[in-house]
Amino acid sequence: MKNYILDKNFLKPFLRKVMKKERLIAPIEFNKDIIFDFIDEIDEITTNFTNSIISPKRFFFPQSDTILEYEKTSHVKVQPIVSYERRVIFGIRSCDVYGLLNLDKFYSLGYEDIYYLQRRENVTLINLVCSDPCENGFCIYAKSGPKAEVGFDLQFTDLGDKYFVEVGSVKGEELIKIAELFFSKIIEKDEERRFEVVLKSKSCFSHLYVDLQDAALKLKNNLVSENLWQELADRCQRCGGCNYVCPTCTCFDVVDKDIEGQRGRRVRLWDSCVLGGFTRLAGGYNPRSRIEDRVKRKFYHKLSYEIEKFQATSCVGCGRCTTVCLGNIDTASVVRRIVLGE
Amino acid sequence: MKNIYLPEIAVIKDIKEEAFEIKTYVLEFLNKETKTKFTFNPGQFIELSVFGFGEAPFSISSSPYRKKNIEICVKKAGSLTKKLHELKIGDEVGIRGPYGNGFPVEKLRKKSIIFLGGGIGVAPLKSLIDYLLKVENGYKEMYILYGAKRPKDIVGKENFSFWSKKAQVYLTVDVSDKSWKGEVGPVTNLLPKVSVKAKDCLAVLCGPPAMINAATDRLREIGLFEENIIATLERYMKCGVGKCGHCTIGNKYTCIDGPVFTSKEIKELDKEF
Repeated sequence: MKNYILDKNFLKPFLRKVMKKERLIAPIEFNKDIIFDFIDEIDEITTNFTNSIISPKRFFFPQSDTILEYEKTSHVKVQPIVSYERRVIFGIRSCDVYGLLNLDKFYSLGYEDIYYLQRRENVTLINLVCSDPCENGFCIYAKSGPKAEVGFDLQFTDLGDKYFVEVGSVKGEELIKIAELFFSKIIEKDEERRFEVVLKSKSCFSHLYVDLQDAALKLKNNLVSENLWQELADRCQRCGGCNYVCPTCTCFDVVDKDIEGQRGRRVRLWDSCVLGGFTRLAGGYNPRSRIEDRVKRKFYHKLSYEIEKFQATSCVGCGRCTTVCLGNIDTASVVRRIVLGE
Repeated sequence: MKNIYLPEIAVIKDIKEEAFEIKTYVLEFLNKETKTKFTFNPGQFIELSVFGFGEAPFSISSSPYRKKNIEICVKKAGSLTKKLHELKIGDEVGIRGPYGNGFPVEKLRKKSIIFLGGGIGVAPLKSLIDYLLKVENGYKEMYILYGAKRPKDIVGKENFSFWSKKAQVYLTVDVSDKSWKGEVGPVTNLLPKVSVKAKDCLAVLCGPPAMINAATDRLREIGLFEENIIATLERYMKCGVGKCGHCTIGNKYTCIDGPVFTSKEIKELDKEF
């Protein structure tokens, strides 16, 4: 695939052209936080950010998603609500690109999930390489950043006054065709500068080493003391925050909500495996009523079972659970403790 | 791409009162093609929509040999089943499925089989028993041991009298009343009535977890191989297709890897939990 240069002065004109063809999603500042949102005004977009507080997962697997509508007239009529909207996400970070690659495998394994996969098929990802790593991120140890090797359609590296643009797919190439005049050829020096930017970024990680592979191995071989789970259980606030910010959490609940009269909609909502009711049955029996069991399974799932199924842990090192966890039992901390044999 | 979350509409053709707060529903698909194409294995389940109240998993309790419609047996337990109990013949529901692995019917061929059921747990067993009674060489001999809380909780009394023509059927209740002349105590107390060659015997279990655990221990004691003790597990299978995550046990999804597991498999899962 080809590489190009995009002068920073052309970024907004380029995205304006993109907006005319497809729905644009990009990072914006919202109450001093960075979030990804649909863009109506190009000037809302910010490129001055480390990463968003919640991953862009919600544009593929929304927190609340109407999957069908029903109407109870003489016969019940059911109408699926599937989004086929074409979208471009600008500014997604490498960790979240790898998060999506994990979700791709999960939602297409066995029974295919049309709601996720259709949105995924209709999106073009413009990944922004992290030249200044975020405080809690450890993508470098999860092999998911600061630069992506796969999964992007276009990948931008900030060279100061311009972006080095890598094309990762046909979709990416087609996006460039929308505004070909803004893109110019690279010269050898650009490649060197890109290399330097990534190298510098890699050297700037302040995060302690997080050995996901070793933790996975210790879990698989049951080399983790029961005391650790007990302590994690004591510290867990059962808020579900870790699940909600995680780019690879997939669990959901499904509920019916009345609209009016005989009409209603079926909605799927993010759910959290650390909440007490997650496994409770209608009769009251709850196989994981103990928080110890729920926390334990969460880490076994993320780190051990995912390797068996997808040959990689589902932690992409975004560090968001470190940011939100009130009990300091985020993935990085737990992995370190498992590795140390606590 | 098929939409796996889209239910097919079915109509309630009949409702039978089986026991206290337990009813059997006869369901028939409206769509003619679905009606003829729908097949399943004993032990598989469906996701039933009661529109406005969501979806929940139910074992199919009728035999796959029965065409045109299917049966589910439902105990009033939560908001969806409470609403379902209010529905009438002619009302419409949604069905997705069938899901899950079902019972290993090939493994049961020409074997002695002990069925152990507790309460509403007889529902998936009924599908298998009715199937085996019809299929050629489906089994060698059959014992059906069943326990309910009280006499009025016995699910489908006429099924047991029908089965007793071809199988040895024993019933028990935890708490008896004046009407009850039979056994009192846990269903595992009925096991001494069984006389089989343990090595040539399989047991099929469905009931509350305490019953499954106790029965598994007793069956091991009398010499059944662990891979021949088969249980179907109840979990919160919200989606039925291995996505929502509620029914996981260790690295398995009850909805796609189960709900039927051997005692050996359950022991493996139990290692971590």
